[in-house]
Amino acid sequence: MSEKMTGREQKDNKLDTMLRVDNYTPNFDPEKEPILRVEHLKQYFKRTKAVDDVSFDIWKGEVFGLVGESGCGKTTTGRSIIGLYEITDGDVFFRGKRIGMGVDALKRWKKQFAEAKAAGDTKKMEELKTDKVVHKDLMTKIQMIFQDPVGSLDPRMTVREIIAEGLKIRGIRDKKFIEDRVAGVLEKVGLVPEHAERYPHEFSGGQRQRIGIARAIVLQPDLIIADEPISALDVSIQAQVINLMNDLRDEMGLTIMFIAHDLSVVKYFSDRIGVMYYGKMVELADSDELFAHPLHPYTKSLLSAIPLPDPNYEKRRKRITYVPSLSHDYSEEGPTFKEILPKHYVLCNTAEYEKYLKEVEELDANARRKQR
Amino acid sequence: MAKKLEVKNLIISFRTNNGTVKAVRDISFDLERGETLAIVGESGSGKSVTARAIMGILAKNAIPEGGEIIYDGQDLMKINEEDFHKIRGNRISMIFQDPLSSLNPIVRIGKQLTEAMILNGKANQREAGRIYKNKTRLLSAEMKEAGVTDVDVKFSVFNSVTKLGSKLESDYNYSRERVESMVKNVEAALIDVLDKEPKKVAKDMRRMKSDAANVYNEYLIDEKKSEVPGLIAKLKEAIPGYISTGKHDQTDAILKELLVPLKKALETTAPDFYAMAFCRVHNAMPAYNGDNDALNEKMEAYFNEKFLNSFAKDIAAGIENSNKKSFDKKGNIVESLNKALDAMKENRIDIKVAKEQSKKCSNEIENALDKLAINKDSIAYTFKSNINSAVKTYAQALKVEKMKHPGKKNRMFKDRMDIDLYQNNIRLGMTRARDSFQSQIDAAEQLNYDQLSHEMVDYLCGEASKRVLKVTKRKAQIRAIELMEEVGITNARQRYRQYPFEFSGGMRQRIVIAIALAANPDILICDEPTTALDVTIQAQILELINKLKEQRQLSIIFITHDLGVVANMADKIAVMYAGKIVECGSADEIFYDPRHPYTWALLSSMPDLDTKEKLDAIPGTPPNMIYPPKGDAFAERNKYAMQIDLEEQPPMFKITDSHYAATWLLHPNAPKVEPPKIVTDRIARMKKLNEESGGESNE
Repeated sequence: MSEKMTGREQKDNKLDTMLRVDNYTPNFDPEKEPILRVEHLKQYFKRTKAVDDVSFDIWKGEVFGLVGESGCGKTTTGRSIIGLYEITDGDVFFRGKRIGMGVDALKRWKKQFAEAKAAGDTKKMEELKTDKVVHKDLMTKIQMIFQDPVGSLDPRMTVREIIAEGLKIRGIRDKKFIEDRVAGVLEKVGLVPEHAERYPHEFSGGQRQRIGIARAIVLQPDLIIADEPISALDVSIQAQVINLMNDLRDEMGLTIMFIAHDLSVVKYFSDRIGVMYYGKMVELADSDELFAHPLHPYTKSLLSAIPLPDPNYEKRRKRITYVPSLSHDYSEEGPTFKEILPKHYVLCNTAEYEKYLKEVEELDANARRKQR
Repeated sequence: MAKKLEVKNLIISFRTNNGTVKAVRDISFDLERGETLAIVGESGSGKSVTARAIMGILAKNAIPEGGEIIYDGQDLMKINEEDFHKIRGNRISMIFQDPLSSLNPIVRIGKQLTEAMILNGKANQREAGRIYKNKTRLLSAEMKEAGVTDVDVKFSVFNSVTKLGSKLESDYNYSRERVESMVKNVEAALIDVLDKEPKKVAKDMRRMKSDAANVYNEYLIDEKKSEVPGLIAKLKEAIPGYISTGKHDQTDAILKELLVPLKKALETTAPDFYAMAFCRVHNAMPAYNGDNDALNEKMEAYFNEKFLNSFAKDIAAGIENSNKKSFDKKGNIVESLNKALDAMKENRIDIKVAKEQSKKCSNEIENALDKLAINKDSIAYTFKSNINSAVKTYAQALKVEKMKHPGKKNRMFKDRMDIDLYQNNIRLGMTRARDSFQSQIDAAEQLNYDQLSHEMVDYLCGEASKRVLKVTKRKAQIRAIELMEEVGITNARQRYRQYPFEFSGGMRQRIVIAIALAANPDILICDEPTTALDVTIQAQILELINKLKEQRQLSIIFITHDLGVVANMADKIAVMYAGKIVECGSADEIFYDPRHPYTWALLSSMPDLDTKEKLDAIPGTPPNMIYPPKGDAFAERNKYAMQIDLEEQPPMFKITDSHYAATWLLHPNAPKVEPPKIVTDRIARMKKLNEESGGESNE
C-alpha cells in the first residue's frame, strides 16, 4: 500500500488483517457459486419437524426474504444456519465451505467412510475427510440481528461493551482500536459516539435496534441474518431501520437474509423471496415474479391477507383461507420442489405442476388485457 | 345515530421523577352507535392513555387535569370507583395488546370466561334486593301521603306475591336450564353414536345423569305425564348393550325420540309466576291441563281483578304525589338558576357569589330529585359534582393569578390556565341544568300515571326475580361455550377445559375478545389487538371484530400504529401526535385526501406492494412531553415546517364537515405544498385501480 493511505483506511486495513480467516476465499467466485447454500436442511425438536427438508441458495449482494406465519420454521432456519442448534440433517455451505453438518448426515458419512476403508479406496477416503471438515471459524462472517430490541441487549452492559464483545472474542486487545471501531459503526448506524457510554434502557426501540445492527456489522460480515428486525417497532421507525439496512447494504456490500411476516415490507426490501409453511419451503422466486405469479395456494392466501391503506380496496378484498387438506391431493403422489418458470420453484406434484403452468398462462393473459 | 360516548377537552398528565409528562393535551371526539373510531399514532402519542382514561384504569401517578368523558349522561372522569364498577367491563370493555399476558396461565379458559359472569351475578343479586327494598319503602311513604288506605297491608300482600313468584320462577328456570343442557348432550351423544365411538357415548351419558334427574317441572316436563322418564329408563338399559356390542340401531332411535319432547318443552311459554303466586296464596288455582297459555289467562284475570288493578291505581296516586312535589321544586330551581346566572353575569364572577349560588342550587336540586323515577335524570344527579369542580378550578385560578411568587406546581398551572373558560364552565353547567328542568316541566302535563304505575309494577317484579336469579356455573358455562363459538373457536366444548398455553396466539386473542364480550358491552376498546400477531391471523381477527360489530351494533375504539390495518375497519380516523389530535376525518378522507404533514409521513413511511422508491422515514423521535414544544409539536421532524409552526400552535382548520386538520399549511396565507411524491403516487394509483374495478363491476 502506498504512504498516502488515510488514517481510516489504515485502520480498516488493520482490521482486515486482524479479522482474517485462514483459507477464507480460495477459488471462490461469487458469480458462479452462491455465498450461502443450504441443502436438505432438517431441524427436528423431538417429534416437531420445525424445518423439514429445506434447500435454497443465497447469492452475493442480494436480499433473500423468508416469509411465513409464526411457527412455520423461518426463525429456526436462520438459527440453524448460524449454528445455534444442532442440525438434524442436511448441509450448510458458506462460500463453498461447509459450516454445518446434520447428525444424520454424519451417520451417513461414517457409513460411507467405513465402506471406502473396507474397499481400500484411499482417494475416496481423502475426499470424504476433506468434505467432513466444518469451518466454524467462517462463522464470524455471518452475523445475526434479532427481533426483540429489548431482550437481545444485555441490560448490564454499556453500548460499547455490547458492540465490542465480538471483537474481544476475536482476540483483539487494542483498546484504542476498539474504541475507534465502535465509534465508527455507531456513526454508520446513525448514532453518535457519545452513546457508547450509555446503557440500553436509555434508548428508544428504534435506537436499540440500531445498536443491534451496529453489533452485527462491527465484525465486517458478508452475510447478515435479520430475524424480524422491524416487527417490534413503530411504523415510522420501521422505515428508518429499513432505510438504514438498505444504505448499509450498498455501502458494505452486504448480503442479507431477511426473515419477516409482513409481505409488503419483504416485497419492498428483498430481491428473492422464499415462502415457508409448516417447515417446508412451498414457493421460491424473484420478488416481482412471485407477486406476478403467485402459484401455491398458501402464497395466495398470504397475499390476500395484506392490509393496504386504501379503504375501497379493503372493502372489496376477499381473504383466501388455506386449508392444506382441501387444496392438495397428495394421496397418490407426494410433492417435490419443481421449477415452473425460470428461477420460480413451487412445491407440487405432477398433476399440480400442469395446473400451475396453466395458471401462469391465464395470469399473463389477464395482465396483458389490463395493459391494453 | 345516537352519540354513545363524548370526549371533550380531555387533558391528562403523569407525575414522574423528572417532571410532569403531558400525555394527552386537550383532545375531543365523539363516538356514535355502531361506529368504529380508529386512533392512530406512534407509541407515546397518548392513544393508549386516552383509552385507559375511558376505562378508568389510569396508572396511580396520572393527573386528570380537565375535560369530560360523557357516557350515558355520566361524566366518567368524575364518578366514583363504586359506580365505575358497574360500567367497566359490563358496558365498556377492552381488548388488550398482548394475548399472552392478558390471560392467566394457570387457570383454565372456561373458568376465566365464566369468572366475571358468576361474580357479577352475586353482586347483581344483592343490588336488586337493595333496590327493591328502597323503592317499596319510598313508594309506600308516598302512597300514605297521597291518602291511600291500608298501604302496609297491601304491600305485605305484594311482597308475599313477589317472594313466592320469584321462587317459582327460579325453580322453573333451573329445570329449563337443565333441559337446555340435556338437549345439547343428547345431540352430542347422537353424533357420537353415529361416529361409532362408544367411549364418548359413555361419557355423554355420565354428563347427562344429573340433568336427567332435574329436568322435571310441573309446567315444563311433567314427570308423571310426560314420556321422558320412560325414554331415559329405556336409554339406560340400551346403552350398556350398545357399548359392549357396538350395534346402535336401538340407541339411535331412543335418542332421537328423546329429543322431541325436550325440544317441545323449550318452546312452551313460561307461566306468569306472580299471578300464579297470588292464586296459590288465595287457594284459587285454576285447573291445569298442560296448556300454559290458557292457564296464564285465567290466573292473570283473577290476579288483576282481586288485587293488581286497585293496587296499580294506588301506586299511580303515589307516583303522582311524588312527581307533583318534585315539579313544584323544579319550578323553583329554574327560578333560582336564572337568578344565579343573573348574579354571575359580569365578566369576572365574584368567587364568593359563585360559591354561594352553586351551593344553593345544588342543594335545591338534590332536594328535588324524584327518587321514585325508574330512569335517573343524569344531569340532575351529576350537577353537584360538576358545578363544584368547575367552581373549585375557577377559585384556584383566581388565587394563583393574584400570587406574586407562585410555587412550582402553581406556576405550571398558571402557564396554561384559562380563566374565561373556567367561568364559562360554571355558567354552562347551570344553563344546561336549567334547560333540562324547563323541558321536563313542559312535558309534565303529558305524563300518563296509569302507564307509569304499570311500569313500576313490572320494574319491581323484575328486580324481585333478579334477586333470586342465580348465575349458576352451568348457566355461565352454556353462555361461555356459545360465546366461544361466536368468536370462531371450533370444538368449543373440549377447548373450554384447556389452559391458555394450549391455544395459539390468534386463538388466545379470540378468547380475550370472548371475555370482553361476555357482559354484552356497548363500547369495545381495542388497544393494538393485532400487533403481536402475524398477517394471516391479523386478517382473521380484524374480520371477526368487524363481524361482531355488525351483529351487535357495537361502538368500537380501535387503537393502532399501523394505518394499513384500519383502512378496512374504521369509519372515522383520528391521527394523534404528542397528545393532540392532528387530523381527523372519515377513512376515505384520511386515505385519499390527507392534509397534515404527519399523516403524510405515516403514509409514506410504510411500503406497499408497488413501492419502489426510498421510503420517507420520519427523522428523529417524538418530543419529550415533559417540556412540550411551544408551537406545532411535529415541527421539529417536519420538512414542511414554517417559522410559525415553531412559535404558535395551529388551530383545527376545517376542510369538510367531518374533516379537520391542525396545520398552518391550511391557513389561507400559507404557501401551497404538495404531499410527498410517494403518497400522491399511491393515491393516484388507488384511484385508478378503483375506477378500473368499478368499470368491471358495471359490466
